[in-house]
Amino acid sequence: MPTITKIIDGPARPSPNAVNVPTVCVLCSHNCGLRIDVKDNTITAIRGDESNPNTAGYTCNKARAIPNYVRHAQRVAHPLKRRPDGTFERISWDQAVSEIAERLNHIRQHHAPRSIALAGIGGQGNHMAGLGSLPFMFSLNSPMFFNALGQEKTQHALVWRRLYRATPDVYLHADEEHSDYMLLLGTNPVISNRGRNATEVFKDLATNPQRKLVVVDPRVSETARRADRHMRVKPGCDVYLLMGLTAVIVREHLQDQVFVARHVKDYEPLAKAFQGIDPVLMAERAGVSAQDLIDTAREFAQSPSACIYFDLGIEQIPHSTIVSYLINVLLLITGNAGVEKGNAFIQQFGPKQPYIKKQVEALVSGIEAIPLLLPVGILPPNVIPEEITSTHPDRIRALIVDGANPLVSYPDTKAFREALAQLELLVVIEPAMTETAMVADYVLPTPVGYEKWEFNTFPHMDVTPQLRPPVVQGPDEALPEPEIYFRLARAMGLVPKAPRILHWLARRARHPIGAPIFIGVATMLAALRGGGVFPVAGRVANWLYETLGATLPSPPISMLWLMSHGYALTRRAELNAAVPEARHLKNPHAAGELVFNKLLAHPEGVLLGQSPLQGNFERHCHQPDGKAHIYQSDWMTDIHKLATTAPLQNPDYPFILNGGLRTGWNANTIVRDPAWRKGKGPHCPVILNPEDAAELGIKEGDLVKLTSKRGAIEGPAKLEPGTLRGHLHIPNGFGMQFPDPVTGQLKQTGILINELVDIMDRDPYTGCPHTKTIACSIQRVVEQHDNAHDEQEEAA
Amino acid sequence: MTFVVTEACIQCKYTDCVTVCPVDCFHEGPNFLVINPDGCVDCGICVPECPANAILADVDLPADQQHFLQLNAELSRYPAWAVINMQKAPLPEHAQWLAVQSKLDQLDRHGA
Repeated sequence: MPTITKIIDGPARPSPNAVNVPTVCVLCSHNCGLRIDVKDNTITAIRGDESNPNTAGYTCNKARAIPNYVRHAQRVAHPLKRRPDGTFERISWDQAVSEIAERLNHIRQHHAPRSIALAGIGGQGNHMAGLGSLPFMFSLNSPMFFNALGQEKTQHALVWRRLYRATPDVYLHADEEHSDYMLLLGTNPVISNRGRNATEVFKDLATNPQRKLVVVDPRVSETARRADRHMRVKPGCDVYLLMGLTAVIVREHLQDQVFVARHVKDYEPLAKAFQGIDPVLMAERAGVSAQDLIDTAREFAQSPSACIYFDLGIEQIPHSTIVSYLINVLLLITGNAGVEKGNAFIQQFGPKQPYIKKQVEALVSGIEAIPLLLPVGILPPNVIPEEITSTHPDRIRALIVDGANPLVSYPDTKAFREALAQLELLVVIEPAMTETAMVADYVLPTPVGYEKWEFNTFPHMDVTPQLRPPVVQGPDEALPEPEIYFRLARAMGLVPKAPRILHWLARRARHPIGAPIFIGVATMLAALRGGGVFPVAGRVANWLYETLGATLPSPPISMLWLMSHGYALTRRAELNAAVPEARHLKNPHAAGELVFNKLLAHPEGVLLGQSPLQGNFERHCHQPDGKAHIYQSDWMTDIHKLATTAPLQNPDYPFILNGGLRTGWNANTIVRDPAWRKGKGPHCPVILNPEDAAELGIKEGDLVKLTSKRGAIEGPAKLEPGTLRGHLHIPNGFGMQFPDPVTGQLKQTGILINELVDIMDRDPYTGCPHTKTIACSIQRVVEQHDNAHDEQEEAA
Repeated sequence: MTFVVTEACIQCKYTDCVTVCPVDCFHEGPNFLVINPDGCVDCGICVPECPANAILADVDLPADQQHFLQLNAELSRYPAWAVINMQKAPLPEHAQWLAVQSKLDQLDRHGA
């Protein structure tokens, strides 16, 4: 067995008893700042942290599930290797790394680097894994990277790339705290916690007579109940509503002529096309009142400011790229794109990212990767099965799954189960024995986000990254993801040992003169070995980890040191606006050190950048002519087709299932132990309209069966008058297998929605699945009185 | 913002809500529960638990229940109204009182 190079060898050892330790909630992208108490290495109390610059003390109930995420019956304690009979044997890290390295090298050398793919990384509040896994993929020179953003949000990034030539590190977000008028689509933020403090924001929108909230949602959601107007759109028909709104504005000449003249290219052909679209017909197809649609269009255009707030409900539906395009069209023609109180580009921490035109294409579908938040393109997870089963010689043969659970979280479970079985190698890097880990060749244990140094960096209105130390000690053999990738890269021979000079320079790098010399020499030495931009970047990252990393509290932090310097070099105005002591520093690397030291000194999160919203459009629209290119001929062709063709419904599947309702008791698939859910439940019912239920003879609590063209599931019925007729909802994040506390046998918690999703029901441009509009039929299986489902539902 | 226990709770006091509160901000009187508005984190997780549908967000309070906002704040501060976080049996006559609309005159303020 070859010698394995190690930098981290053993768990982080925070104090076993501590009070008021700052950290963050990793259960949703809101990332509420927390203070926790620890006793005997166990989290005993969790409170909102008023010193967190984003959430200022706010949390929801879910943060109290963190102890269930940290300690549970399915933590992986050792590296595991699957035996031919399907059971696992404990192996050493050295054996795991050397065997995996050998198998990956075999695939890389006999086939192609792209035959090795990566799925996952990041999650909601643990973003450090990406700082190890992406340099590994760079070193490997494989662009095959799949991430959950590719089944949710890449359509927006594609639209922003095309219209504004936007860089991947921005997000065109509603200025929800200040806008006079909010059009809200496909989200229920009062429950799902979007924004700085959604409950307060929506209370103000509901009660402030100067502000107006229009909610588009088939369901009478908690947010819709606070709306000035609620348009109950037919599930998945948002595209018609947006076409109708645009048509009204264009036909009535309500566009912001000054903004359009200054910032929009090709308004005329767009207007001409929309002249031919009948808003009344669009309202009918969307299932909303024509008057409501017309009034909303007029108000949106004529309000002093207006924003559009959107999320998954318009992302996992048919035509989601066109929906995203139309959102941008509406914002642009009304003068609300890239402006204060409208939708503004917000940017995450780090150096300015480049716009990279050329992106890898999937072999089978030709769908192009789309960069979003990360500098590399993201491919949609639901093309993974066909990329594995294809006969192309460069097909995926090895898959590394890191911080994801494709057999629960990716669409079409059956397709994934069949495809994963055909892989030559499946490696799962995870703290828990997930459904995907159960079928892996190797399972490599990591600490959870409270047992290692971690980092969270979703973009907010201000630049507020949070680097946080571990708060409890994890399993002895769990290794942070970047260490695993470092060991693999070295064992595979992808990256040589760091030149000795870099160790010497690293000890002097935390200095305004030493920093640029260290970075410069590392880059030069990496470039001398050739291989293109990505392998060079991979070498630099690995050498930083090995040299500078060894001088820091934890080696992966070395990448944050580099990002701090990149941030100070490329975004000085934002830094100076938020951090007064940066203003007098002439050397940008002195400012970089200041940024890095602030990150280290503020585990509760720190304000490191503010940007005035004036000039937001100009700063983020990178088209050579400075204008948004609003007329996209292929998308306009799609819109023409939509306007002239009536939508079809399959009579065999008359119901539309929203596959993933947000409730107070779901947190994606992050918390596996169902004991965190309290209350009466059932927490994972099939929710339907009482009149539909009466017609079908279904009563509250009856066991019902849903059948789609891909499969069938069963669950208890829950009748809800706020659900539209013909519509169904099932909460997301269920369907995991967890040991029964009494018998120890694996038992499924709630419904696995992805059994119903057809992998081919997806957006042609992005591959985003139609998980929010699954056509299905519903029938009663068992009446409530002899229904045992409630008992089997959850341990709670 | 805060959530508020309204009139429907009086004389029923099911206490399903107290088991789900993440911040233990329910306080108990002899025949009514209240939410401490300073402790409430607005998560709303208690709302569907109540068999009497007595818990509402402050913004959703109908006109005839507006005074419960102040009443929750006032009673939760009174020392005799202790924190409750374990479910107990509802009051004996809960079933008769569940459908009664107007029962504020039944409220036992427990000296507050």
